[in-house]
Amino acid sequence: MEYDLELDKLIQRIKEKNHKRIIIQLPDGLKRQTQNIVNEIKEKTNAEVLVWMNSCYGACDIPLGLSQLNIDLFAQFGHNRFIRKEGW
Amino acid sequence: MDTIFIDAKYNKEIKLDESALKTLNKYKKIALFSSIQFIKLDTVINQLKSHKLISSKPDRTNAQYQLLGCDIFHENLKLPEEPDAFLYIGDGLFHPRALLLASNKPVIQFDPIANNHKVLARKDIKDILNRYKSSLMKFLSSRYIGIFITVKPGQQQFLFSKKLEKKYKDKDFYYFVGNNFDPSSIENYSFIQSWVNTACPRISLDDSVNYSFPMVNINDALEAEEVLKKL
Repeated sequence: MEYDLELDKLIQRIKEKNHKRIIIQLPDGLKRQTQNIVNEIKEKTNAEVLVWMNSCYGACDIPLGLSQLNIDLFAQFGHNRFIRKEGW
Repeated sequence: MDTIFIDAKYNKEIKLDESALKTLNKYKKIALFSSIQFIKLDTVINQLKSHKLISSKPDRTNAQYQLLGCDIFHENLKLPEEPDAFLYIGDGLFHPRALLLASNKPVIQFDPIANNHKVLARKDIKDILNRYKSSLMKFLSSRYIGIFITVKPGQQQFLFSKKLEKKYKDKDFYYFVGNNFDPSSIENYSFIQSWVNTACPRISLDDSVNYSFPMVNINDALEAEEVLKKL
């Protein structure tokens, strides 16, 4: 694997906060890692893992409506926090 | 809801090959950028010691040298001085194309995975720019303007878009709200003569090949005549 997915960090966060249901969002280039990521989180935590199936163009592209599914943690891979600014 | 971002950094050393170095030797001042995944640039910086390396941290980024796909406006790059060329480290053309949109200078893209490089120039996006120029002209001559607003928190620019009404008092503006940009749904509103995009600015540029209506970015619509002169 050429990328550091930092699953230890993610798993630690899930355990610390006792998250029960999480969702992961991956850019196209990392989507092929979905099975590995889901399996590892499920093996090492008690959390239920959902996968956002649509776009992941950047940290500006966060899924809407996740509260309807009572998600405790949203994890986006491949980007870092986006500093919002008016206009482009 | 708790939120976490995972950079998914490339975990191998990034080192320019001889061929890329030879290309870069044609330029003295080089502005270096990469996506967050390839931001471990120590070796590359060391390899470019004989050049004047220009670094910056564009407005919305979290790290020095980081580039986002929306950094298509020259002022966003926050360059301390103008380079002779850009060096972008990363795979894919989406980010280096942002640099082409932001500047007239050549962009050398080095892909650390394929271990090769490409030299990109403004002519490579000529078709995109020509379509965009035509969209800007259409915007200026249109009366009925549709403004696309997304509800995605990172891209929502409703209040900013209201500036258009103040600037163009002879136009009628209609606001359309959606989750995602969908060309097929936009084509239902045939009374709209020209569209303004307030979501991801690449929708109006790279994606314009996928639709037939004129669409310009909010920033450019606000200064349409000035932008047209530069294209």
